[in-house]
Amino acid sequence: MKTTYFLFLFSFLSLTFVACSNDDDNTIIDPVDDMMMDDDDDEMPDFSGTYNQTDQMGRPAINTVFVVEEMKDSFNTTIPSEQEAAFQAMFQTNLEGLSPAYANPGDTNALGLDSEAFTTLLSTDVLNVSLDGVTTFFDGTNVLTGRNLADDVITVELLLIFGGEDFMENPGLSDDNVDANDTAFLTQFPYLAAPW
Amino acid sequence: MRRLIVLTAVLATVLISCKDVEEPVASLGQLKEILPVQPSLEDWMKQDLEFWEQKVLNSPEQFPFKAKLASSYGRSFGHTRNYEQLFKAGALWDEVNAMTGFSKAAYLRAAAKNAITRHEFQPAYELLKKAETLKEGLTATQLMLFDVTMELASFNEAETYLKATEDYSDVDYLIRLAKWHDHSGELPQAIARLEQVYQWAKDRKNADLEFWAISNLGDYYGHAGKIKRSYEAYLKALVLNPSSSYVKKGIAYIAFAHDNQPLEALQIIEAIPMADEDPDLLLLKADILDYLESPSAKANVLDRFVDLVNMRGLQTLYRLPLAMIYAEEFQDFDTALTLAKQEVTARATPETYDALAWIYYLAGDLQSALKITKEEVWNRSFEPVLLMHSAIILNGADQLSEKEEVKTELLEAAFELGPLAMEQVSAL
Repeated sequence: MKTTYFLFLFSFLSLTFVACSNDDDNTIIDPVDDMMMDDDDDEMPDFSGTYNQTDQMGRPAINTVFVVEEMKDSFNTTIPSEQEAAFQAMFQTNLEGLSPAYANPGDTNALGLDSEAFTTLLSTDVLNVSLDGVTTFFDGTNVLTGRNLADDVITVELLLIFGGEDFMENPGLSDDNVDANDTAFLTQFPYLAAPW
Repeated sequence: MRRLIVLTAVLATVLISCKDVEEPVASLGQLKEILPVQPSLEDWMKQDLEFWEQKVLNSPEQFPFKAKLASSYGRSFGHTRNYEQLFKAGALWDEVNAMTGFSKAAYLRAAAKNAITRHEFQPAYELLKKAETLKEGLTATQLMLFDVTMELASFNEAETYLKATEDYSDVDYLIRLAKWHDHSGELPQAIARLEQVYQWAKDRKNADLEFWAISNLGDYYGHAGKIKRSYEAYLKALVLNPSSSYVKKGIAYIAFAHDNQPLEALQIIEAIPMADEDPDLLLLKADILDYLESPSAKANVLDRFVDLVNMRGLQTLYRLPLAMIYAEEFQDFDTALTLAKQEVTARATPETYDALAWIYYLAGDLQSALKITKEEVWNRSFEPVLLMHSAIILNGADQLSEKEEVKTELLEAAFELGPLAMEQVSAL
């Protein structure tokens, strides 16, 4: 009796697809009536249908840090105008968990924001831009008027979370110790440095 | 003797119907340029790999660097099929999950994906169940849980996950739906869904998914007996990825099983770069040499297969073919049974039980073969291979009641079963 070895690979075929899940490509399509393939490569892509929000990232690392694992899906699919109502309380709990001084009445950060006010700002996770002012994440005077590539964003966030009223508290936690990109940024488009 | 004559007559009909009625589909001339194209990493992939290797070397305590490096190895494996990189990625994901206390669903999914590729289904299932409790990326987790529960033959659980992820606008769901249709013996529906995925990917110029969909469509058209369509799908796939040995293997199989041109099929395989490093190609080559009645050449190829699998650490991935080779080629039934039982323990599917029953049958233990076939295989799958093995085993015990129906069904799957198997079907 002969055994066809190659046949035992057929049960492998089904394994060639493993989670093609791609967070970036979840657009909605209309049901395709004619499911047969056609070879018409000139056909225009079909962009009709309803689009859904599937991801959300405004200020760097805020979603990452303040949104707990089990709320990520919900946060990512909530439009910014509805985020404060839905998530401010969670942000406040997590802020006070990270930086317990915020739980004390009257405790604020260097912007004069207490726990509730600060998380009200953060929970609407957008990147503000001032159209007529200085563009900076924080330059000592201007706050959240935009973001330059060279801005030390993470250190600013750490200072606002841990640095207390005068940026002097918890010095070990208030600095990411990365003061500049490892490669110089370009002075023209696309402005970013080459990855390697 | 009469049986032999009937056999020969039926066989001749099968072969003639392949040879004369239909034109050969695979054309070596058409493939001359593309067959030798080798897989290679693009420069940015190499740089990415080196960059993160260096980062991990300098700061081994940084789990995000390890996660980046693991992704990089995983991507490289996808391009080169260099299993060393798959194993490196797997080890890194284990470290990353240990360092983060198994608390990040995305890392758990990444580790599970790696485990699935290594056929470590039970560990993959446990990682994904943990990810499910963490809720982040729940749909992605549940889609993968569908994949794994299917492999573990937990079909009820799989169906639950399929329902939980239902979204006809999501190609990831449509892919699972196609798989479910295939499992349920509804091949036309499975094909229709895959075609939908293909069109979606094509419209959005998602080249990776487009390649994936069209190469799998090539397989499914083959199952459905639409060989010309299958070949055309493979050609389209090669335009997208000219180095895919997976697709070239499908074309070689068409030359062998449909066109009845075993020598051309061998030429196709030989033209694929590093064919001797690809276990799948070696198995196909062994079958073709068997068909050509070249036992010593076939034995050499199977020896090479066993060496390669051992050398590369692929014993789990290729456990079933290994078991078959030990049984049939080396007549080492103890080792073969041990391997097949290990596979059944790892995933108790109709497919793995079928392999175990078949080895018992080859070893001359008809009673054990019969018991497993009746309890675990018969009427539990629509796979022609399983039906064929079950029919032969039941027939051996004079217990195959619907012989003619089964034979007709198997003859319809002539392409999928291949010329070697058809000899046995005819002998029923």
